[in-house]
Amino acid sequence: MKKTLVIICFLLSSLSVFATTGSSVCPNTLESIPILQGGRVKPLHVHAKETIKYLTGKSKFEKRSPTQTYCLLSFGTLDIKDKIDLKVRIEHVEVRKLLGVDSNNPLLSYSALTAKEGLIKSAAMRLKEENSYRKALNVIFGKIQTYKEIQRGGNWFIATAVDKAVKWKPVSEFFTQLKSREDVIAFHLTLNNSKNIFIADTGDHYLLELTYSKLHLAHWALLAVLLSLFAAVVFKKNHLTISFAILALVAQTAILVFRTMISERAPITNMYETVLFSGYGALVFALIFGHLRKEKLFLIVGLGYNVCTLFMISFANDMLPSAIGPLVPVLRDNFWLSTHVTTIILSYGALALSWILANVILIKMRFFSIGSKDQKYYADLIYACLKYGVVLLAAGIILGGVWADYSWGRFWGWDPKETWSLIVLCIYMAILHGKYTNWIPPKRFISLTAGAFMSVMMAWFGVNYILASGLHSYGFSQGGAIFLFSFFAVQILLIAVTAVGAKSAS
Amino acid sequence: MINSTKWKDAERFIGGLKFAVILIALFTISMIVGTFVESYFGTDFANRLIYKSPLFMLLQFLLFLSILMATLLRLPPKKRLWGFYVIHGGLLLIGCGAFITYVSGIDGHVTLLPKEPTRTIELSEDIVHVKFHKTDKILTLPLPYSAFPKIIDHSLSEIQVEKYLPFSEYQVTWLKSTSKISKLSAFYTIFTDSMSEEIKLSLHPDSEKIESGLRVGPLKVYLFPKPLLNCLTSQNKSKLIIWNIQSDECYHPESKGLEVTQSGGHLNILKVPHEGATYYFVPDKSPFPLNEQFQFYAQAPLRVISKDSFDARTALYLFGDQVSYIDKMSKQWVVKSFKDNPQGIPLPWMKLKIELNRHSKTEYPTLLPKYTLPKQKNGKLVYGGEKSLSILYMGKRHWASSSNPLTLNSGKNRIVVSIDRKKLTLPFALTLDRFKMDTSPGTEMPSSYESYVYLLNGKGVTQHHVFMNNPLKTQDFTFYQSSYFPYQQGGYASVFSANIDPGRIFKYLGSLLLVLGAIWHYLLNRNRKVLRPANSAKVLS
Repeated sequence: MKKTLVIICFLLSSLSVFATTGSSVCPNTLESIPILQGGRVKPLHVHAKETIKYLTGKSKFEKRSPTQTYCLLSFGTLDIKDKIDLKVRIEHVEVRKLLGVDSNNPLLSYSALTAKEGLIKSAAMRLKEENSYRKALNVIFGKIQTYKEIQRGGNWFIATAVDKAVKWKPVSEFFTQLKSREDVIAFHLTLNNSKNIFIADTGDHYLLELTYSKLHLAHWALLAVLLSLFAAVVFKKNHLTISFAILALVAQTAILVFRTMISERAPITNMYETVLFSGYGALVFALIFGHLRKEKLFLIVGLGYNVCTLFMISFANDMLPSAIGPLVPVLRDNFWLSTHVTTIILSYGALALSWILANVILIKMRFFSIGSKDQKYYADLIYACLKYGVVLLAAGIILGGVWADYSWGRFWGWDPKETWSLIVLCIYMAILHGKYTNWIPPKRFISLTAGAFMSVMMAWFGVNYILASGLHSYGFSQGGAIFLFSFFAVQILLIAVTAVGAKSAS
Repeated sequence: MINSTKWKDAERFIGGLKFAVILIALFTISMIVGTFVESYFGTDFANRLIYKSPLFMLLQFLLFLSILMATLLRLPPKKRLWGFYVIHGGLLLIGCGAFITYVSGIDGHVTLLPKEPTRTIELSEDIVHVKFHKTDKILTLPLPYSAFPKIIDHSLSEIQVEKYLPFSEYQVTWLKSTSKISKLSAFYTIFTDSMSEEIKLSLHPDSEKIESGLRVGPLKVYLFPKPLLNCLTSQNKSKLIIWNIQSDECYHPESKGLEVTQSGGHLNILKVPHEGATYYFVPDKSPFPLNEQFQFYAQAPLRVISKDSFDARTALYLFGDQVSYIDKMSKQWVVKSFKDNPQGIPLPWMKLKIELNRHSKTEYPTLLPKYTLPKQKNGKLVYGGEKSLSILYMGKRHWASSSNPLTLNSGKNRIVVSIDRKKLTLPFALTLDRFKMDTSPGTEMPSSYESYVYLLNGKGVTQHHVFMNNPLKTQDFTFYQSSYFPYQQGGYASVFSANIDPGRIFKYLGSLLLVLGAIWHYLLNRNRKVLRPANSAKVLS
């Protein structure tokens, strides 16, 4: 027992030594320093977390907090003893070959990577076609530049007082005064002073983002929604399911409220926020539809879709970066932003419910038996989601047209985002017309609804990740093409598998 | 006379569901193709090929007809169909609004230069604009709105407009030399391990847009006729070369007993007899001879080049399949041949190498517009954005393009042919007082574009502030902040999109009816839901 206590004490003391070593130069207290980066003022912790995640794929490095890692990297060229060498995972096979990285251990340190900067640059320049290899080289080149910028102290700007006004200066401007580890520790005073200067001038509203970042609300929401789904499918406890679903909704509402308060605009301006909002909308719809129709299946489907969206925003950070950024001028209209985009994304939520429901029933029809009356019943449930989705989509398109008329001078301009929204509407309208006149029987209606969601994904993700053109350029992103093609492949395969040899309706 | 049964059948077919679904499918497929076409080839090409093509318009008209017939077939009104009537009525109104906008709307751009009153709207239609300077006559011809080349064959006075290329790019074309004197043209590639650049040079007078010399970074590169190589590299006392630019022959003054004399003003003078005439050169001042007015005469057939002028230059001299440069250390001419260096000739600067791609004296390269499919990258057209027109004038073919107007000179008659946009004159003037672009703090990312403009009309001058989501509305026109570009020493010019949309009210009303109708339709049918069958199978059991 005594021995165990001694070992524990030793471990704790070594941990505390390690902690002080790291924290004396770069303590976690620096996380609330306001910094200017990417056109916004935010706490150092938030910027550090986003940057370290961009550089390494993870927000922590060797058990150090993002603030500590980022800070040590910034002062890395000075004589501070606590040096860190970040590592990046090289994913692309040809890039691995170029850099001589072993496929069994694809991690490469940034010090080794920066030494090969010239090689990467010349390899990218030699490629005339824009292919995945060139894109991967450009991504790595961009990471090297960010890494070097951090090391130069040019990646974050702190507030200083000049003639009673706040002036932002890069940390590199103070580097000449920092000769030793002790100088860096003394520099904390300047950093804390910059916080006081900024708060005295502008207030401490920016600290809201620190609270938001540290609450990890998306993870809590994911946990709640998984528990709700578990309670519904395994325990079949309605009250428990609804309780956890409401908890998940509360957590997601908190995310949306936080992001609205931080950015002072509707939380639907990038792919991260639209994915989150569609899942949120779908769960709200599922609760309402389930209550109105006395049908638990809606809630299960809503939870299923909500899990998908929460997984995406939690783990697909390359594709859906969570950073809150400044808006392009055309989006700076809170009224139109919160009406047009909200309506469209809510319609995607309702259509997503119909999509999951249709797939679930297709699988059930393929591997189990569903009677024709049941088919008709489930087709009607899908129809209930579709009609809300279609009305909201039509309203969203029209609101978009009015906004476009107001800010670009034309109601309709065949912009790819506009056109794909209309394509989605046309596809669903054709299905609804067929269903309404009994031209499309319930079974075909279910398959068609499952397939039609691919058009939503194309309008939502495809225009940004594949087409990447048009006036809606603020939504362009990279890295989602593989996700989208995988989605299409799986959906087509599912429809094909369920269409071949489906058990006949009894 | 159309049989009334056949007419009814036609009405039923057009207003029927099958026809509607076929049309919706065709419309959807066209739009899908359109978005991909736009992504690869740009907005203008997609508009010309699909969205504004007659076929797509016909499809929209048929959709309109189908909706109209479907509504008429369901008359007299039935209570359960009220939602249907309102939805389809809304769609018809949107269709009418779009048609009115298409027929009588105005859609263009106004470019506002700082402090300059502007009354002109530039519309999207292309026209060819021919100005005869002798008579001050201006003729215009609308150009076809097509995605592919179109034969026009239309005369504008003595100008014959042949063919229009809506998307083209200047490309090198080698043509047979028709002139009696053959001139050297050559293409090379200068490269290192990490870069390469093709250099195109020509001495031929008809070689348009291809010069005889250019710069590659700090290095100057010149193409010379081959006979000049020997004159340059061989020694002579006067260090002068006499070069006949018509025949490309050259010789040293000493070889013909010509001597440099000094004038009273201590200038070196060289007197060169040539084909019965005598040319006086001042080699220290100019390679051209003096004319009777003691001015340097650039049209003369002879040049006198001083070899001393080559010593100070960092330059590479190309003579077709041979290259030459002055060695920095020895100050001697180095001559190398591509025949001896098939992998490229190493040059004494920045690890550069040069290889010969093509050279000829019987053919010459010229840049001519050729039709090409445009290419779009990152939302911007990067290739094929040039509009070109072939013109026949006095039996010879010429090309005018959107970036290079064509100037034809015949005696005292000067004709300028340009491809332009159709213009419209505003009943008032707009003057840009100031353009302001704010950026997000600490970045170059724009956060707002704002124009402060003066509006001058019959009532006087008013000041307006135009920015994103805050247009200027006056006399049926609406002006929106659309773009900007740098103009003169740190200033900016502003571009407004300008339009009149008489169909707007119909589109808005139709949109409202569409959404309200859909809600009404679902409310009327809310009781038609299917109940769960008794003993039904649970999906997740």
